[in-house]
Amino acid sequence: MEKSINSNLQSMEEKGEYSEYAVKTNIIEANCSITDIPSVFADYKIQLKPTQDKFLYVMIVQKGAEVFTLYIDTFLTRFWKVYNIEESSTMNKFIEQFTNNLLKIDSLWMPHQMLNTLENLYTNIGFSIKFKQEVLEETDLSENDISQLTMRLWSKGSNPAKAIITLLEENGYPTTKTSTRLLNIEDSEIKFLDEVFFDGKVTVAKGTDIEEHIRFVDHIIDDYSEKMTRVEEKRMYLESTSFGFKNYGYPFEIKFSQPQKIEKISNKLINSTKPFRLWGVIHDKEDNFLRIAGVDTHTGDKFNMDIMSEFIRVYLPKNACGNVIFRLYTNLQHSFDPGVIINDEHGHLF
Amino acid sequence: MTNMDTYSDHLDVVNSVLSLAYNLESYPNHLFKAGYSISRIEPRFNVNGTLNPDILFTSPNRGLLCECKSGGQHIGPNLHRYSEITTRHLIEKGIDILKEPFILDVGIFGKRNLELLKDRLKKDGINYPQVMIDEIIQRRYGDNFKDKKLKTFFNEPVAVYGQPLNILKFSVDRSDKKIAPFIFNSLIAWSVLGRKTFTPRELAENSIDTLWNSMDTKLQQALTKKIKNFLRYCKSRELSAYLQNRDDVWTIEINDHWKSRKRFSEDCDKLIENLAQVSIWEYISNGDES
Repeated sequence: MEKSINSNLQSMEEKGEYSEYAVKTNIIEANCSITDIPSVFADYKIQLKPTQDKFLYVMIVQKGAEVFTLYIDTFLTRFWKVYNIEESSTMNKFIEQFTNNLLKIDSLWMPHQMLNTLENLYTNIGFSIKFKQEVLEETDLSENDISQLTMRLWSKGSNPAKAIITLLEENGYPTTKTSTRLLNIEDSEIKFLDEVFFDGKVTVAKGTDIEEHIRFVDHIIDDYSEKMTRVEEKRMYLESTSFGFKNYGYPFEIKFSQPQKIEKISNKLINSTKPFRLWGVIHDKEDNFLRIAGVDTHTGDKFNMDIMSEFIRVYLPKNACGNVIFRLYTNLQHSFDPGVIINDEHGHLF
Repeated sequence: MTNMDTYSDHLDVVNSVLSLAYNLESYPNHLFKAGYSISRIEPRFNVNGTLNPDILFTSPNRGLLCECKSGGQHIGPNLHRYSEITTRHLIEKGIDILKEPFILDVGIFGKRNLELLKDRLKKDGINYPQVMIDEIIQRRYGDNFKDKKLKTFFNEPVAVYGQPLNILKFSVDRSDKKIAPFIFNSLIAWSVLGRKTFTPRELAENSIDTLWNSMDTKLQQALTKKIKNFLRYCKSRELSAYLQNRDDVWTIEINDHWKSRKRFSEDCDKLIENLAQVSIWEYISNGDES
């Protein structure tokens, strides 16, 4: 694999930055073992081959006449790294099916704050912003509300990228980044130019050493994992003791940038569809208040949720997968309210 | 109002008081601001007999024993003795006392029922601070809290705009309309995970979650029976397409597709809606006969 990657890198160096066949790594959030993956799902047939490295698997994927190869590093049991040099469109379709169809397999869901944090360590030379209102109708929006904004910027140096973001913020436009392009330069040498996407895809555009890319991917996983620990420490439950019940955990409080219509929100959030993939039943309904008992259809884990015009509270029970918080919040940013924030007991989660 | 509704209100009062210890924007945070956190829910003290306040909150050098009331008459036989609970009793139960002196307050919390209850309390010579949590949170009757922070925060009326947290979700005594969502929740969770068969006892345990093991056998049996009857009701109504049973073994069948789950959700909503119009005991007694 390393040989292919190096030759690919060299080819890219010769051709310039852009290549459909760039080295890509997709980070997968897994709550199961690699051996639990079914050999057939959606239109795909997969074959897993172990390697000398007990954590590394070769996955041969077949879809009709098309066959391609992926390399899955499962050293981190919760976050797998899927390396490949396949065409972007092929991989995107596969990863979409892989993370949507299989129970307990999910992508990352990085809100734009997490992408911004990565920018602090490297030179940011571009980004993508994508916001599309999916919850409210055009008739629900005021003159100042933006229903859609998509942009992609490539720049030399980080100043243009920063200036554009400032301009958008000053005018109240969404700055919900869905990807960021980062340049790592050490001693005037480009270590890598990678683009990180909100869903955990990391593409190499330039670089001289694959290890630099892998280290960078590990850094993203570390950040995500740290947040995941913080989220999962807040899981709420009661424990019976010899002296009454002891309570644990804390709810997450999501705050909208302006009051919203709660029925519209609940209709979208708990209808089991992508991207939220949450099921729910309303069990308390009052003026501007809905209480929901829900299930994350991605994992079968339960959750509870209160929806108010300005807030959503989410309660994760014991053992629930915390990725639902990332998924919920990131998709609220991308498709409902770009100014939404989320807090736990210590303040902003992101 | 049935007894069951009263109990639901009691749970609402308990949740309202517990919520004050969380630092949320969507609900007042009096106890958090005063430095308290939830220590125990339903602690039991042995002070010449059992004393069983609803909640114990503690801060490094303070404790607050809360009694939550949803009725206007019943005050319980031991409420007047809560002031006999001392630091020693807390230490005996393993509660960390970080600073001495440790001072304990007792507070009674309720809703509008306090307007009635205050007279009863006065008659019995009980003067603990009485805090109303309704549209407004404020100490209305009784003495002031000993803790100056509690005194300051609770003496000031504060408007409550949101609903309390959902910390204690339900008890066996709650109405089926309240319990139903948690049952449906378990059914869909199992369906997602590919589990199809279950018994009413397994469903009861899954719905109750971590509290199941703390319930005594009689209570577990009562809840299991209640859920068994409720399943029969569901099977005869809106959920007939999804539920089947042979004696005590039930099956749930919901297709693994978002449309099927959405339809199931709509049918659950309809069933809950219709439950409001049915006397809950009506079908339970029917179930017993069958």
